[in-house]
Amino acid sequence: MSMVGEIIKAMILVTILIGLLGLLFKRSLLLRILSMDVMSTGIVSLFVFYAAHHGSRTPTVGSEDSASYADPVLQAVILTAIVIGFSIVALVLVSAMHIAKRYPTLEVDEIEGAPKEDS
Amino acid sequence: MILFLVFGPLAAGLCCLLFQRGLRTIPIFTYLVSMVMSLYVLASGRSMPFELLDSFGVKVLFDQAAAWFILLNALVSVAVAWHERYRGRHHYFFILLAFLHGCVNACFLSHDLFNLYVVIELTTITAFLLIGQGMTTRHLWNALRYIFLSNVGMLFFLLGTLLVYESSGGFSFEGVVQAPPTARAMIIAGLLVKGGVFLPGLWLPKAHAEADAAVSALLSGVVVNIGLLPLIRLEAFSPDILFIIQCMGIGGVFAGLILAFFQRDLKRLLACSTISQVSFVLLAPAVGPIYAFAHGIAKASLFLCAGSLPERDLILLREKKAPRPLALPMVLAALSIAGCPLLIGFAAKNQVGYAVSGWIEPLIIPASIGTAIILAPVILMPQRSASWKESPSWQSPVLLGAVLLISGLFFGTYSPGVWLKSLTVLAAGLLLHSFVFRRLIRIQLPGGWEKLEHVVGMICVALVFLILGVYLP
Repeated sequence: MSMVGEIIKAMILVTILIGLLGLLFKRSLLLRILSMDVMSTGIVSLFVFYAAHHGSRTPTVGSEDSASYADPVLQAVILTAIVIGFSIVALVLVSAMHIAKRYPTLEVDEIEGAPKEDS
Repeated sequence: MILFLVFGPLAAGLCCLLFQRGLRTIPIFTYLVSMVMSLYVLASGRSMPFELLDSFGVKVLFDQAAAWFILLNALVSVAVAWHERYRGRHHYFFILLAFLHGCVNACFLSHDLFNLYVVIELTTITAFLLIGQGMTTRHLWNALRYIFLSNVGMLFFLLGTLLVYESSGGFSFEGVVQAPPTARAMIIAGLLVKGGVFLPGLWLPKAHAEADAAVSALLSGVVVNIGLLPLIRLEAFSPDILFIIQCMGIGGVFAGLILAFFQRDLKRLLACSTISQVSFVLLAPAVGPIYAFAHGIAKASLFLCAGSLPERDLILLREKKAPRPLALPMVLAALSIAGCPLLIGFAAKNQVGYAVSGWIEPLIIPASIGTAIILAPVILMPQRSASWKESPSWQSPVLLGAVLLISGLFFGTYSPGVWLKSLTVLAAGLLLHSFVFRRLIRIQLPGGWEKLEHVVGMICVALVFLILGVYLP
């Protein structure tokens, strides 16, 4: 693998790690949700990166050398994961919006420490 | 034909969504179809593999193990739908129930890693909507916490899936065996989060205890199993994986028991017992499905009853007393989990006892006694007589209780030695409860570990342990 490939891979792994650290250490719920999204973006890029392992050509029927094609299976599969990740983040944000009516700062400690009463 | 199991309930839910009223009964028919098909597979002993499209298609497998889980799903869905029909629920609940049924069936049937990821996430989303249905802040926070944690788990699973594809060129379960150890650890960690086992599963008590009774019944009875069946299937492929999952299982059994000793709230007690019971399922992969069936039916029945009781606090409940129509099915279900003869729980526990070997074997008896101890407050609950016509909420639990009894009579062993052993275990549990452990519930455990960041942290710690565990041997 080329030097550039290694750098890109390292950057992707750093993205995943940043997402994970954000999940653990951020105080605000909104930032935690965003870190989850960062982490899933990292994983999606890792899929795309591995798909382009052997080459980055579009896999179409033709006379070219078949070895340099990007792997279509991984790319097809990750589309589904992108949609799922996006819809989950959307759902979580909607419910965070409802929670924000009661706890405008969205601090996790504040929400968890509050007595159980209904709005 | 198999695909009807998945698309039937989804289509029924969609019909309800389109035509709104009067169609609440249609989904129930699709649950009955699931029930009939799984009974057919169980009775005929056949398994039906199926592949959609040719290469890189979706692999589906309907075997004996899946049939137990689908039967469980069908029975619990029927019971919950029947239970909730009186309660003036919005029809939205029934639509989500139908969707959940279809998604969970899909989880049990799918036989490749990526497809499993997709359907597990679908189930998570449906469960999220069900938990958050009350729309109060408490419900929403609980739902948010649930989807957040299981999404973190599934992100690890997705990473593991990618590594498996890299090493074996496909998404099949067999590929996990040759995959690098890190991939194995990530996949197992993701599934353990969904299954609610040991460290990664400690989010479970709060989520299950704070949801509505019917939703907790679904979560504890059915939804935890979507992580368990893939783990059982993975265990069958390699002894290494089997050993690691068994270690986590033993940890889960005792962690659940110890937590449950200190619970004063009935629903939290039941949820902690779920942690320990799902770990039992993983100890012996060959008989895991029947154990999961026995536990799921009994736990659903317990949660449905617990929701209708006048009081959730165990100490106050002793004074107020439970009405008999609710208490009887509760006692029956608790006895089944504790392993009383004639019930399916007894047969299942017995088979697990035969199937395990080596270092786990001596631990089974203390674990069984512990199970009897934590369910003793339910078994010994003071009862008061009440009219059966007072409220119809006993019907579904009685239905589930009948299932426990009938399947127990069918599968049980009738040798006196085994009976004596399990009755002794049960009696020991009840005695220990009344002399020692009933005082423990007045002690309050610090609750800080249930915070979101700590639970996410525990998932990561468990992942690190798993990675260490797969590299060391």
